Amino acid sequence: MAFLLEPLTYLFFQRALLASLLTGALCGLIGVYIVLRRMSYIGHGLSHAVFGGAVVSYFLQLNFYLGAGLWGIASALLINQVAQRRQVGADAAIGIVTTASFAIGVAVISRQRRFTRNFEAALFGNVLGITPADLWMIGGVTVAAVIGILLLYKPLLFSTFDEETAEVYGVPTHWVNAVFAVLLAAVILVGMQVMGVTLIAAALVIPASAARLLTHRFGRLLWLSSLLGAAMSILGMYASYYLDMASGATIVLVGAGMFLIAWLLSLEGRRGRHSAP
Amino acid sequence: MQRGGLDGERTAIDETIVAVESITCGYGRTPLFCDVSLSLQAGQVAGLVGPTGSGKSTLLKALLGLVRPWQGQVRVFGAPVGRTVRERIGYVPQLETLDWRFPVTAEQVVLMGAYRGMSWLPWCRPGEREAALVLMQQLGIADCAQRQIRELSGGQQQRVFLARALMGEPRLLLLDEPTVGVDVKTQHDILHLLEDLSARGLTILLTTHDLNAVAAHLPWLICFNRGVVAQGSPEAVFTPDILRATYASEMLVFRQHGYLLVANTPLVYRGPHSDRPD
Repeated sequence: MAFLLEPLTYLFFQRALLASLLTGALCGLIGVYIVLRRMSYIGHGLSHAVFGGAVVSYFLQLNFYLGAGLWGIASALLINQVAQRRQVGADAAIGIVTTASFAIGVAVISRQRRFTRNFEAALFGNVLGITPADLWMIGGVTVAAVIGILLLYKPLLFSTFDEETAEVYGVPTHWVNAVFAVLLAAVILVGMQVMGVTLIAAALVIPASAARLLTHRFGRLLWLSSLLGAAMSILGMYASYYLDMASGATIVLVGAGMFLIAWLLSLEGRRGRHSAP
Repeated sequence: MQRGGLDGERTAIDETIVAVESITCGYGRTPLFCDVSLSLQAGQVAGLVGPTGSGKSTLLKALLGLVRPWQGQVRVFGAPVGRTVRERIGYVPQLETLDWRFPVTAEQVVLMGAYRGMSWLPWCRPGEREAALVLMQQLGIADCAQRQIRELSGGQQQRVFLARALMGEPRLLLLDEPTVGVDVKTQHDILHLLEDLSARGLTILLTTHDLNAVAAHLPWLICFNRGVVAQGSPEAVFTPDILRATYASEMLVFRQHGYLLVANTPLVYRGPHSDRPD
């Protein structure tokens, strides 16, 4: 028990644990739609786009959440818009928008070398530097995302499963996609603090992919993925503390281990079904 | 009447449900078909046949308003296709395009068809599930309600998606290749079911590649290849000339035990070392 309680005597660890718990669960929840919509690349790309916004807002001395948030939402909507055109495929559209945005960030940094260090945190995460304001922001986005997913549960499910037919049956698919893109941008924005630009995509994809191996029920998939996301973050934080490793990378490694276990369990389950008389 | 049931009332037979007037559709800058006109009356059931890439699915999408014609107009129930018109259309897409590993049950898929009348709450009201179950019972798939869609047979999968299309009590049913990927008996079962629905007043248009099955079950066929080649009864349109014009291939048409049958003429390979006689 002391093993678990000892790190909690530090305020920075309490904040870090709460922040990673919330963002892990949140990424697990949103990640279900990312995986089912085969948009895994979008999480990766959008975090890079937000990085450009973070650099520019820092350079212009704007509030991080305001500047990077607006930039991220604009990028998400732009990706959503371009991806719906037939001439340019979704993957190409995401690649163009996000790498251009990331390049803006890198270009600004190369001109203003004085704040290079702060952006190491943006690239690789700085969960130990979480402030109470960050926690409020993460909490707010968590509440907004959960309410958004609950309100859009049916149209999101229908349009994720069969978008074209959903439109015929009255689902406003363009609006649903746009709202989802904004939610995703908000989740990436707050998740960046914990995981960093380079690792946030893993937090979006791993829990949902692992949960999908364990259930064929959509409702169960949502909560199981959230649970795995939260568990991966908590275990990762403790492992990071005791092994003295970077928190974002440790969380991802724990997640990869969980995915491996889920895969082995699914193999075992399949073997059991096949050998049943 | 229970919502989602099959007990529809028969509509007036001379009412025009679909009126396609000289439409041209395409993708990018390339037209797929030009100057297409056709109409369907209430209660009519018609099959759209033609080779792959001939524009059959695009024509269905134009009727649904998913593809906007470059020229001409589509009127369904006497009005341009919009939200209110779509409320009376049931649509079954090509099932090959779906992700069969998607974690949804048959019942969840059927309930999607009632989206318009549903509450925004994440869960379903008891009446909604009851209506879906009644419809699934009528289609003989109630036992599969809680199974993941990949676990169903091809015929059950087609019935699930047909049930979804019927949940909104449509007056027009559009089906894109409902007989693909199922065995011969299931093909006939599906077509019998569509005949039953037609007898209840539903207007039905389906695309298919199964010429013999539609010749046996459907009273009206439209041969389509980037335009309407011919339309009429199976006897009128399934002639070697019309089929050659539709498929750009020689086909044999013959009668056996009273059934009209179409068969491909085997294409003989005529390579440099072929010794087959002409």
